[in-house]
Amino acid sequence: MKLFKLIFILFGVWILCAETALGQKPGFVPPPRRKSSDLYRNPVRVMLNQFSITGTTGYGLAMYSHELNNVYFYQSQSNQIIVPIVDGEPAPTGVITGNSNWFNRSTYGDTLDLTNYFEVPYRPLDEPVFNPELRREFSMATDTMPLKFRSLSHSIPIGVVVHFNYQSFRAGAGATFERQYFTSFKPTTFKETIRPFEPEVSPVFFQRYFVTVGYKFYDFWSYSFAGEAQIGVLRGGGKIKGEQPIYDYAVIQRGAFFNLGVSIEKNLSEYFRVIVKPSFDYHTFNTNLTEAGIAIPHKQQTFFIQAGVSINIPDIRRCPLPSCAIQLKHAHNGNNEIVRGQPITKHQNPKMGQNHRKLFRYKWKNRNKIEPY
Amino acid sequence: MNKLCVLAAGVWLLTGLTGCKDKDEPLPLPEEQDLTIQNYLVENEIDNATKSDQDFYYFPVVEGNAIPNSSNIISFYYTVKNIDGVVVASHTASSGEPIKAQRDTKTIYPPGLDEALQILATGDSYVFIFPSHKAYGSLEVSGDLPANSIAIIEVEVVAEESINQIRQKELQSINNYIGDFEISNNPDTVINLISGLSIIKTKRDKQAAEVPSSGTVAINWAGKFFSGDSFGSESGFEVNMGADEVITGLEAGLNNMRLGEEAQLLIPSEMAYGASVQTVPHSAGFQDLLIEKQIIPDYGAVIPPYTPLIFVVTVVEYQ
Repeated sequence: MKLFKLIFILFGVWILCAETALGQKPGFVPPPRRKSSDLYRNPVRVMLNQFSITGTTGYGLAMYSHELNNVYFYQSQSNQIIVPIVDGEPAPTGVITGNSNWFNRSTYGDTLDLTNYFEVPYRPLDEPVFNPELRREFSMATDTMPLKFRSLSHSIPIGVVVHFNYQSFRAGAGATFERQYFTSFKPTTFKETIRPFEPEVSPVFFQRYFVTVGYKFYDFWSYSFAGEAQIGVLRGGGKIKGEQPIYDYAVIQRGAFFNLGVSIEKNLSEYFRVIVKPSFDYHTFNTNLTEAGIAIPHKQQTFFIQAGVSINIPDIRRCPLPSCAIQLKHAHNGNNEIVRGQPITKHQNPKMGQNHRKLFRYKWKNRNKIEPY
Repeated sequence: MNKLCVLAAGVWLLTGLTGCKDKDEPLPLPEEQDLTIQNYLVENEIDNATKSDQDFYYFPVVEGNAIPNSSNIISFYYTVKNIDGVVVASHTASSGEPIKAQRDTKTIYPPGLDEALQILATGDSYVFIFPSHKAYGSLEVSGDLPANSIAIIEVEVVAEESINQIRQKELQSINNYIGDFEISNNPDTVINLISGLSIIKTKRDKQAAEVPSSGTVAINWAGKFFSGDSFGSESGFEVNMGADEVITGLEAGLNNMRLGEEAQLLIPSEMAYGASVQTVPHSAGFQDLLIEKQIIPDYGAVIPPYTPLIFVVTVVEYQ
């Protein structure tokens, strides 16, 4: 009986040994298992992978505002001018000379006739009640009550930013180009009497060059939220009717601009993301009215909502084998280089079911078709 | 299924945001006031009121026998009330002479009254009920007639004159004035122009140069009505001759003067401010408010309709 048991055990051991040795040539030594970090990566690519390039476009709503202080504001049927208040001197009367543009250039020399042509003995009006000619001269001294004008202008920004990313921090530089369409400046007081101020401008081309810092403060599934701040210089270009520049930089002094925003990023892959970024931009500039010896301060505040894409240059290249069907990052036998199995816009190491195309039958245009094919 | 729910929620949200209207939202003002006027007529048992094409209601108090002629200038009295019957302003026979107005020339304020007066003839007395947009709009006439109020204006037409009748009457006044002036002052020269303008030269210089038909002339002027009341004066006032800047009577008078001369220009209303502006109420305070609001010109508060004027003029210099 004991002998029978021994034979049975020896037979089992023989079976196991035979099973494990199956397919192996005598003397085969398997290669050591390779770690991902041991595989070759192009060092230039690895370094470049720390940078991301972001391109955005969208819509901007710019609010301009300025306050007239310590000037006389005069309005006739055809003109609006300002004249500085000089202490101890009476307000000018009759035909007066002043600045008619205090926004983008200093236009001095326009005259305004303060004569009231509706008094006796000037000629009577035809149909005088509610006659539009009655919207006549208006004047006010802004030394006791400032006069404020506001304008809402529309713009289309296009921006490019290059970020260096380190963990959750990012820093970089970029440029935004903005085509802005002005609207007239409406007064905040005496709205029924004072006409909107319409400086001689045309669509302007703004260029912003800036440095930026940011911090990714929240991740939610495939979404990331990052706060970003920009500081830089702004310059407005373009010409009115192709002749004179819109902004006369001989009289305009621009300060820096500041921008604060939140970048909401949908990470489609580790190299590619779609972003939506609301931001607020603050900028001030002065228009020096040299002839009058005063400067008018302007505020330019813009709310942007931009959308775009951001990519990182991949640290590894795509698998060079055309017939390779491997989906994950991989290395082929005999090759020490790790390569991608996916384009940069897709998950690089997809789980089961990821990266699959939407089936033809589920596409929107086929949604109601019984037989979509 | 999930997508369907999201879509339904989106549609509901959109319709909720854009299409939602408060059931208790008040009617637009003109419709609301029309309803108020109709209620007023019912409550006061006024069954002979008519609604005009211009949104106001009217009914006769006294109907005269004359046929309306909208080209005539009417003289009338008025009483302005609010919808509660409180008298806001009035000008009746006990207040003095009736006021004049020419209809259908946009010289009457409020504008609804301009349209309303066209149906009236001598002897008529009508009550007009104006919604605010035909009355004083956003203007506050008084505490009893605040902005955007319905106004009730009762008008009694006491006389009607044609332009010719007024012209004859004014020429008569001018001739009478000249007659009286000649007796007391023995002026050097009186010029009667065919246009109706008369010039009494009180200081003449035949050697001086004539006022040119173009260029700038500096004058001193003082204005007065034929009643003797003054309405203004100015020294060194510059007239751009030929520019049609000043009333035709003044420029025509200057064309007949020489440098240094003094004259009285007796100007019929046609060569001055004609129909001018008439307002109801026609108080100075209310007219100043209308000027401030740029509803009527400044001269409307100074020169009543169809009023001949006297300008005492000295030609100072010309360029």
